[in-house]
Amino acid sequence: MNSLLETLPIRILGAALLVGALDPARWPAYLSPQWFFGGAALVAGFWAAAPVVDRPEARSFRLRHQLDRYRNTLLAAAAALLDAFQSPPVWLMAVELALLLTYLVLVDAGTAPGRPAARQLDHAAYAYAGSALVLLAALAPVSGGGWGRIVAAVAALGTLGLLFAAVRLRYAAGDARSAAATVRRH
Amino acid sequence: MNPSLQRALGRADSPLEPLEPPANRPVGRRLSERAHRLALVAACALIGALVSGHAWAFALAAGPVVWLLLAATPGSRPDRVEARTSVPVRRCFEGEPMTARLDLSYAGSAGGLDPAVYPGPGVELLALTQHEAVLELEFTARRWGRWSLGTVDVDVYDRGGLVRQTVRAELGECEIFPLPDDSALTPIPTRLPNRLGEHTSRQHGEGLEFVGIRPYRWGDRQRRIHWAATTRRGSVQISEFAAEQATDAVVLLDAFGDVVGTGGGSTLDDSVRVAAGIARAYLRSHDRVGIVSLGGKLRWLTPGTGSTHLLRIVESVLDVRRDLGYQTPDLDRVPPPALPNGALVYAVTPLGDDRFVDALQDLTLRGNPAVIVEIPAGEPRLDPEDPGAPLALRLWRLDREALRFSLTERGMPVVVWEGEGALDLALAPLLRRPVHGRTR
Repeated sequence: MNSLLETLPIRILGAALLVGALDPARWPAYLSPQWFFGGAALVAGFWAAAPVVDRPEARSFRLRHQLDRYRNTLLAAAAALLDAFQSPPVWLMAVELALLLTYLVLVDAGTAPGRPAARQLDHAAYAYAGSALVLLAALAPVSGGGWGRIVAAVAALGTLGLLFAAVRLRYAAGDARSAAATVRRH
Repeated sequence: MNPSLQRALGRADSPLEPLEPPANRPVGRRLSERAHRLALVAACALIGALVSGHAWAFALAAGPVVWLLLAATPGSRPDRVEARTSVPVRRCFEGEPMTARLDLSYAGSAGGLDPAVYPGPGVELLALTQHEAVLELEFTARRWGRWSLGTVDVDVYDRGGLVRQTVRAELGECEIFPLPDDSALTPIPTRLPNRLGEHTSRQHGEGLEFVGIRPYRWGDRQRRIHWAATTRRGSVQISEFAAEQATDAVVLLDAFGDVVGTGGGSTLDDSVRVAAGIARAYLRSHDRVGIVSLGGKLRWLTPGTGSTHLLRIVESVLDVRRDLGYQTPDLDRVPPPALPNGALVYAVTPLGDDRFVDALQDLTLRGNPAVIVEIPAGEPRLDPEDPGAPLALRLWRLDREALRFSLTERGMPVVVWEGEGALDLALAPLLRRPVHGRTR
């Protein structure tokens, strides 16, 4: 019961992510199969969203055990795949993007051992910014006129430049840190 | 249970029934669950976007891709990971804590450690603390014996949490001594060896207990004159005192079998605890105590005295659990110093094996006074559908009564140890008079 209460926020988040991936904005008002799938997604998301706290160790190859072990990964991947085949309203796109990234952050915080919190926040901020930039580029009205293509091109180049700069900076920082650690240990 | 402890133990149903360490542990670096998750989410979003043609879906892939790129920093992975274990104390009594320390050394930098602990049988993990690259584990053992402390598999992650490698450390063996049952009573045989000690014997000597008076003889000390008797009888009378002597006690341990009860209790565990309790009580009285264990392998320890001798005794019985066998014992193989003439023998046994009863008969032929401490092994379970079962149980009880009567008639009183802490209650009737042994 305690574990259910502790994991309730992330369970609600996971259920909302999976239900949102079915584009509920387009569901009809009357009872239809979409409502049935939505209910199933709600239940599946609520179950699968709780972070796996066990060590990543294969103790059994039964399907039930494998589903239980990889449920967080399967939930996030299924939500991304379902989202990719939908064309929801813009507000729902933004919500889905935010839910997916927030879910990945929370699952990492609950399961990945030993990652400094500052680094997690740092990386999460970069991920949010990159996703937002790509979303804006994807929504740019490239078919509306000449300026739309320019905006899209600038956004794509900006994303690539941001990634390149981030990776270069990380590589340089990593080299310096590893050299310092080696000196310290020897 | 502490979540980190639960994670390290792999969510075993019971802390006393831990999981076995995997025989084929993964070697080398491999991707972590986090890397798999981010890569799979990005791949699903990219494939979905390409197939469906929805450009916004690239934004779903962008976040995980950025995460992967930022986390995959070169030089952030640990190289040449090694583990060094140190267990300062490997010998203790049941229930006492033991600490093991695991020092991890590596070149480069590491992000986090994720230990999996597989405690040995009978060993329980109490606490797990981590300080950077040092793990401290606190164990305890609930059962005596020579156990393996266990195995620790440590997953060492890189700083991004994307790659991990596993290093295994064996914690080695530990010796868990049985906790002696609390006992203070020390019955004595009729004849005590001529050695100074704390038991009041029947011989006259220089002790403190007054036993009578006699007429004065030349050479008697003046301070021993009993003035009241001298006045009454008109001649000088001398007080007589009992000698205070030490005794030899030998514990004969029945290691032929181990009957495990429904509650998890083991007759061998209880026998060893009783044996250790008897040994400790006599050693406190500065007597000499030895031990002979009859089982698969005949073991003995020559009687000795002193506080360290208790450790020698309990150490000598640690292996009896491994030696359970079908060899018929022969007390003639025990050297005379290990079973001195006249030594009081405590036979600790569940009286479940005829070979031990035969050994007791040999013992009475040697003339050693003996006391049998029976460790109840419980009654046989009845088949509720068998109409003859109650009658069989009654016959079984009568057979046990006959066995006890027969042993008592041969000069070996049988006392029953009813449970933890009741050894004094069992031995108290033996204090009424010295143990005679076999009547010749």
